[in-house]
Amino acid sequence: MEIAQIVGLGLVATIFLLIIRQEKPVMAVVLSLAFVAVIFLFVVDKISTIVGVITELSHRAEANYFFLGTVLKILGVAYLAEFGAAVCRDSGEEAVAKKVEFGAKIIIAVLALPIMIAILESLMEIMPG
Amino acid sequence: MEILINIVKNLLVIVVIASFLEILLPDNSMRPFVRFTIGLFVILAILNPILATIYSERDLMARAWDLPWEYSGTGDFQETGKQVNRDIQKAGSEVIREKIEQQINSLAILVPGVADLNTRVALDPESGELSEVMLVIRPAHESSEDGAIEAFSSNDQENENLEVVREKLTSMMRNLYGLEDQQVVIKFEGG
Repeated sequence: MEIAQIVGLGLVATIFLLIIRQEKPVMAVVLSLAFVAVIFLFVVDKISTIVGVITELSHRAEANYFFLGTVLKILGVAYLAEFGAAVCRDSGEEAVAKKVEFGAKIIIAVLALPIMIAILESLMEIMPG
Repeated sequence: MEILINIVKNLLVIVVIASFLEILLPDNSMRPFVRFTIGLFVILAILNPILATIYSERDLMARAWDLPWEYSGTGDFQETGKQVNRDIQKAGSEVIREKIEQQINSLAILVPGVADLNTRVALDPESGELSEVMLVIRPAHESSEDGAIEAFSSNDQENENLEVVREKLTSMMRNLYGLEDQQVVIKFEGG
């Protein structure tokens, strides 16, 4: 039961964080980051399985992998930014969290640009006149 | 009809994938951005087979953007491809060079005054065209009627004969291969 392990780990980390945060806030951030890393390592295999299945399905559906890859990349950026922003928020740095999210939004927009341009160019070519 | 069925099937799969990706979306302020991109992906997935069916000779222009994405080591692949191309060209040039040398040998040996010759040709590495021909000639000495080898009566006459041979060979190369005079190098053995 991996979910039990994750939940247990989360509860333990929360209790430790509650204790440590009052004494040493810096260590609390470190512990929080370590917890994020452990959770990520727990699920990294499953993430790769999901990505593999989606890729396989898209190949079968003859979808362009460039675009699917971009979507997956954007998902990764969004999750990473969410983790970072959450850690910043936990430390009481709301402004930094906002900046992390802002950076992520810009990166997502840049990644989405090729897809958008591809659609627009193709549509413009199809349009008569 | 079969094409249409295939398109619908593929679309179904893509919509399922898109829905699945929606589950994976993070629950924060970036959700609309990611949803927008997934929406674009679905539009593309719909447009792509339609375009491919209607305009059989074209596909989405962004197809070209696949290359740097799918092959991270594009530079290496390109360089390897160029190297293979160069090797093929080199091997081809070598065969062509040998054939031309044999051809010139066969023709030049027919020129009076040439006993034997050795031909070396150089091909332009870029265009593969003939760039230089070098002929090393062993001149034939005039024989007397009884078959004994007779020396040229004088150096002047010998030189004159060699010049005639040189002129004939140069002319032959000029006419056959379109070479300039300076591209034809003729040397005489012992001279």
